[in-house]
Amino acid sequence: MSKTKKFGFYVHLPFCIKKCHYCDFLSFSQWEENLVNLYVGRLVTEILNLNNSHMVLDTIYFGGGTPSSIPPYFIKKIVESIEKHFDIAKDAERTIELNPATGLQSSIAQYKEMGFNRVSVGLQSAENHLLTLLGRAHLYEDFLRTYEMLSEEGFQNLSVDVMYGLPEQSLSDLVRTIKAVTDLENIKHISAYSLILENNTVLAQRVEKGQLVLPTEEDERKAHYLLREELMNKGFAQYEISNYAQPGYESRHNSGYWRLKPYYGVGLGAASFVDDVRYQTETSMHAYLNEGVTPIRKAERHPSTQELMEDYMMLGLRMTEGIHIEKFREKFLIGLDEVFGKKINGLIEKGFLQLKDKRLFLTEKGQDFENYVNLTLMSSKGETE
Amino acid sequence: MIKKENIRNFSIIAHIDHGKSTLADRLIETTGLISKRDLTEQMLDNMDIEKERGITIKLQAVRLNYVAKDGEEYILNLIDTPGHVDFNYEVSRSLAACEGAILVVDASQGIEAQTIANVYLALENDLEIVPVINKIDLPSASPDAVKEEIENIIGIDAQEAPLISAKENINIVDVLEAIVHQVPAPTGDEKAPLKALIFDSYYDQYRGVIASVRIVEGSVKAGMGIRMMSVGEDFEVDEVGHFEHGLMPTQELRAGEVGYINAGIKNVRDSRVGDTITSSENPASEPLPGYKQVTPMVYCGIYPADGARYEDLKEALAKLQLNDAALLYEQETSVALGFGFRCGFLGLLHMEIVQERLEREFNLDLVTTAPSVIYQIVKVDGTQMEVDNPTNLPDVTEIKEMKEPIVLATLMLPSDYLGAVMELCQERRGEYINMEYIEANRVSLHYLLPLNEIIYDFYDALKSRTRGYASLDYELKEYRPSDLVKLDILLKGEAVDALSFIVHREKAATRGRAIAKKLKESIPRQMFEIPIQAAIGSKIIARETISALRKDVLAKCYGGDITRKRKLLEKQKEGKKRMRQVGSVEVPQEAFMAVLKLDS
Repeated sequence: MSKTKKFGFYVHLPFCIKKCHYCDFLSFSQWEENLVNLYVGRLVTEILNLNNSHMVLDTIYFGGGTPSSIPPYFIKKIVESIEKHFDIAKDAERTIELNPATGLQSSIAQYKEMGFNRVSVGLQSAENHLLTLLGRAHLYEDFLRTYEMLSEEGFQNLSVDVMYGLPEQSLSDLVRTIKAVTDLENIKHISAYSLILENNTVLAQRVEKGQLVLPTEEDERKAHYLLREELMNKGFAQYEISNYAQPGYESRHNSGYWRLKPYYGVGLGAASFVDDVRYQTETSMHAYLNEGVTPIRKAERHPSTQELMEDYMMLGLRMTEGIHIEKFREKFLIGLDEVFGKKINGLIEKGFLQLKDKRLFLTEKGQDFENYVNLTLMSSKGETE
Repeated sequence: MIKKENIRNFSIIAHIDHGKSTLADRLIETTGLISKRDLTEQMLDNMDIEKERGITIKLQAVRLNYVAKDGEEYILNLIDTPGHVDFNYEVSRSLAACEGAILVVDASQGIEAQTIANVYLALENDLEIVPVINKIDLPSASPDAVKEEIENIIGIDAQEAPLISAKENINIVDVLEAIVHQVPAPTGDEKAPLKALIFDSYYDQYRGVIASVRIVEGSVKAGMGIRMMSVGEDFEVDEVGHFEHGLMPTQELRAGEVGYINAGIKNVRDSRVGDTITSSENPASEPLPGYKQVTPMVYCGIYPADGARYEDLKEALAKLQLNDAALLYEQETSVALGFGFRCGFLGLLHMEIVQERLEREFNLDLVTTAPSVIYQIVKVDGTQMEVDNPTNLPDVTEIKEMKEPIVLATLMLPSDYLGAVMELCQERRGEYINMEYIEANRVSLHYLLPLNEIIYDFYDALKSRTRGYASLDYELKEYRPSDLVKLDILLKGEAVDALSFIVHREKAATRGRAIAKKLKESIPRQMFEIPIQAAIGSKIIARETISALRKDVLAKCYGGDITRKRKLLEKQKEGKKRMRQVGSVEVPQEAFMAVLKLDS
């Protein structure tokens, strides 16, 4: 009999009320309740067919899309099937993503009832001109109202998403946004993403046409450093490249990804990582809804030990805590230096990595060149140290 | 026993795309040598690259049996010719093996520059020209205008020219009859000492060199001792034969016949195109006229993208050379690119073909440097030298005079594009010679042009400025003194030898700026600032800067979709492998060819 393992659980709901101008995720903004009904039905079947032995769910995360854009009884149906099928840890972190434009008081109350104890709110900016530019369906005032409702219903562990590196975003815009969110006491966690211009998005087209101008890399980095410093002053520590939290409020769910912990992902295109194999659920909505399509989840990749070690490094280094040398040895039964020694030394010499108290982590410079560090650590096909 | 009077040796002259290969196929098919079913499309062009580009690189021959309308049986030897300016000499030798040539002209396009060049070669060799008008099935065909054009330009009677469509198999027999009646039978004394003209030779990995020959005088058979008159080597004949469906051994080849000789020769260099084969015991006193050793006109450096594959590249070049006497190569070392080879080619097309074969047939990834011509240098101390690699140019203070090769270029084009083409030639330091109207709206233009202006992007520029309607032919005219300078390109302050080139002083600044700009586009930003400078000696004439990369970070992690991130990284890693490390700068392979793609 094997030991009980802690699992993460992700539910993907690809529905929105409106597609944002920077978004290239597969999501449906013009949906009918019937589609959602079919989708949720299929999702429940998917959940009930998962292997549930020897595991306990430690975190549950409803993401999208915008989970709050569909009626709460669908959410409830999904939560009930998860609870029916799986053991869930008593102190499990249960997060739901919420768009300020869709947060009705009644829904929020129901989320609380369903057992959610953490809400991630997609604010992006406290400046209305930037919200319009991003094509968000809400204004700053909507966010404030949502915050009030969440607090009223007793949610005390809130996270907000903030974006920087936006066209027409001044440093003072950013400072104002930071102040606006850090002044609210129930906000314990902030995800801050630098804008990535994805092909075929409204924003990309407008930049291409010259209607919008992206900040220079210098300005983008300035914003990044400023944000990091401002947040630190307000008691939010950077614990991951794009994530900041008050002590004890780091996202357990996301940390699971970065530590190579196992997780299930259900819903259209969701990724799973089970017994060191990476899976992906069907990515076509049509096929997903078609009961005849099997398997609904395909093994995408059987990583070799070398690949797993590399993944462990590139994900672990995203955390400011970095990689614990002893934990690496425990997991892979080999020393970090035996696998990556030469490369790590090179990166330390160049000032990208630092080794301290048996922890290997990115320096500030290393954070700016995380991708380069990953590329260096990654072996080419057939290459060995 | 073949009667000499019933032999016809002929070639086909045509512009690219005018249907030479299709006509050859039809002739083969109509005379029944190969059934239609076995005929792989265009069987004379048997290298992949030839088929793709629609051009013939290696010529071959085929022997056809034809019973003519007069009831006599004839042997028709079709000798194929390469269709490109780079292979002019090979064309002239295969024409020398014939008594006649079919001139194929496209019924809607008319005559092109390359065709005329080859017609003149044929006339120089006293060949009877048999005009044939092809593609008469096309709606745009105007055979009468084309007939008139042939008469005006070439001065031969074209009124009786067969009107055919090789593609649609229309009137092919007319071509065969025209060959029988218009092409003279060969002459030559069978009893005289052997004189056989090599018009092609190729290396077969099992049999060694197979020399394609036209017996001009005397005869040859297995067991006989032969001598290559220019090379001076002796061999013993293993086998002689004809080209039919493959090689068909025969007892003997006699004066007037076309066939092959296999004599255990190990390298095409011992069996050079244009050389005369004679008998070792009873040698001819004089070789046949016209032999010359082909010399490369264009040089470039070829390096393996992955330095570890140097030996593979060396082996591949050796294999190609077995079959290509015109390809020269010698080892060279570049600070920027490591170990590689300096290679000499007949021209740009030859260069491209060799590069493509190295990449395709030998699966090599190459870095090639900008092509160069041969410059003649007169030094201050009076000595002379030739330079085919800018890196080897002596210090300016040691140079008294530099000379560059000048070619006589013939351009044929619709008169609408005259202005554009003349402008292009002026830009390329061309010297106008003359111009004639071949037809109301077609012009033949002559310019003297420095070869080093042609080898960069002249073809591309010509094509884009005339929408592909102009054709170009050129021949080396002379070497002329010229005010040339060596332009160095510096990355982060260090000259990159593989990027240096020689250019006319007046054009140095423009070209330097264009290259610096092009390099800025093709070299990705790195973690430090990279100044790109173009310099003549110590004088900087252009500068661009690639600003330093300030961040290289994938901020969002796509939820749990690690596979997506991983794939992205793997793609980047592959991209990095295609870079060359020059000092501390990573330079992509394409950058070394930047000089070629400046279209101005």
